[in-house]
Amino acid sequence: MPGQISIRIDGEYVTAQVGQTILEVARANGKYIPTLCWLESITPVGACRLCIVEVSGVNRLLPACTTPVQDGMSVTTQSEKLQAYRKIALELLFSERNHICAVCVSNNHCELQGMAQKLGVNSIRYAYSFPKLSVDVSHERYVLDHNRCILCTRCVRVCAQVEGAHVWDVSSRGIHSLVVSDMAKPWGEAVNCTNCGKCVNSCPTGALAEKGFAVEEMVKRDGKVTRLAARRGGQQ
Amino acid sequence: MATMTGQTALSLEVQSFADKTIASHQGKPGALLGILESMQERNPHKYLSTEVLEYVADKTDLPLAQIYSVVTFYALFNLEPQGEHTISICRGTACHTRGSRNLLQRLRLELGLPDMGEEGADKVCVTTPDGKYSLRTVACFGQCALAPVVEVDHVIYGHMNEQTLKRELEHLGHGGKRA
Amino acid sequence: MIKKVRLATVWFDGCAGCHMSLVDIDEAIISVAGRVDVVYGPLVDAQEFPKAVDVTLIEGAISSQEDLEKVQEIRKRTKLIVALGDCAVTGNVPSMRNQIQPRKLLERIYIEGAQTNKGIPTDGVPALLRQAVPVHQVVKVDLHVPGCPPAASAIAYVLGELVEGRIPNLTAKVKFG
Repeated sequence: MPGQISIRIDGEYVTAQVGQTILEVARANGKYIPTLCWLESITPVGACRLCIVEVSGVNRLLPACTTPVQDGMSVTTQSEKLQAYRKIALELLFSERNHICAVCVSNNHCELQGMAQKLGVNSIRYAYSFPKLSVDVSHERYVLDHNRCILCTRCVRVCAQVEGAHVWDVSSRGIHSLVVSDMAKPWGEAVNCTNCGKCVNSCPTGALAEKGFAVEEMVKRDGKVTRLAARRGGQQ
Repeated sequence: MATMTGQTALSLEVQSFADKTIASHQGKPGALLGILESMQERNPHKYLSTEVLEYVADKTDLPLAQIYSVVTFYALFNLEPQGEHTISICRGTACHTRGSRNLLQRLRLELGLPDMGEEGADKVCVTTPDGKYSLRTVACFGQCALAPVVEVDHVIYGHMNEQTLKRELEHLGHGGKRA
Repeated sequence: MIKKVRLATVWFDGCAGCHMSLVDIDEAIISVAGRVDVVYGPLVDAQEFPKAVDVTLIEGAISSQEDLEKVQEIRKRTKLIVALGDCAVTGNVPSMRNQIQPRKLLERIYIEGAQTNKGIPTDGVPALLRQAVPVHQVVKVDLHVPGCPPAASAIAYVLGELVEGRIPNLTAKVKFG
């Protein structure tokens, strides 16, 4: 078949299509690579650094979600080194904001919390920064709690690519980065918001939630968003 | 992304300048940066008002959030009116070890700007209420051999101390010595 | 006869939920009780933290000057410290005050928020630290058992392993929250 190449994942030979990413090929072949910012059918950005893999002949770790496969490539998805770096990336996410699982709407349904359990992160080695952050309750139906945001930008991409509204984006840079709606106005005043809730359903944590839910009650349906994205033509 | 098509508080003159600027950047990659820079440069207070950003969003069909993201990412864009004179203090490592923090504190005192404690020691961008001076911090000017470095109205001054800094302020007319 | 493990439990800035989860380990408590001497803690009478403790379970964040001094002394007198529950492991709910200066916080509660007897209590109460922090931020912690509270089964497993002289492997067995 044209465009078909062969690569090795964890020693196993698999076939792949030119243009696919390492993550896509790994998933198609039942290999698990942890991810947080990645969402099926949405453009990958390589923001969370959890999907890093080792590639033979490359002396740095590469994000599987944005690295295209090449013929003859040999990829390692699980190793002690990768485990150590994935833990560091995850612990830094926890230390950056105020993630209090016990009082979160997404407790027990949160991808960040679940990833900590999966990777065996039982404590955070880095000092918490305990930033002072706001909660935007101005929207009629939804809440944005910056304390719980990991800046994965899933909401930004889903809103721009699937809904086509592009209400969300990231303001400032570095540690001062914040997800903002329109011109950093309260969400409830964002003229471009269609109230569709795709951002809420694709948010991996409790940062975006529906109003009226108590602790543990918010269950996200990101499958609804990714299926819609695929039907509307996938990555743009 | 259309928001308030046809409704804007901008003067016709600013509108036509914006229209011309946008037209001259048509089809060029990275056009937004050039447009915003021209719009800011044209403003007497060297800043981008919400009205200007909304107008640019409307005319370029770019999302408001994306424009806001760009103007907050780059330090060169201002969202608040700037003072007649801008004083930038370098807070890089070399300047820090040569006492730039004291210079910053001294300027605050001189200009009557509030002390923001630990939080305000690193990143500052404030303007005096009378609109005369803007005080800001810079990560590094790349002139570390001259540390501590202060930039006054785009001119770099090296080896600054509190006395020389005060003299520069007086040259700008601060302290009533010159009108 | 096997030498019993000298076990202490401590309650700092937390809600006592972790101690409740500890006594909620059902029949496992019988086998654990036979292997440990509870030498200090809210569950026993001892007034002073004893010397040569094998294992100390710490519930709660380090929030006050008193907590800080106590935990430093406990570290000197304990072989193995277990941070039990999210408050001890992450700061959890007590750390939600960390964005506010303690003085402002106390004024808000004891002056603005009080109907009668307005005034910040000072007699017999220790000074608050600027921030409530996890135990490992002030002393070395040997084992972290997160959870709010940690499941009784996790605590039973931890104690079961510790009395056997093994360090429990908690990967995927516990979670935050």
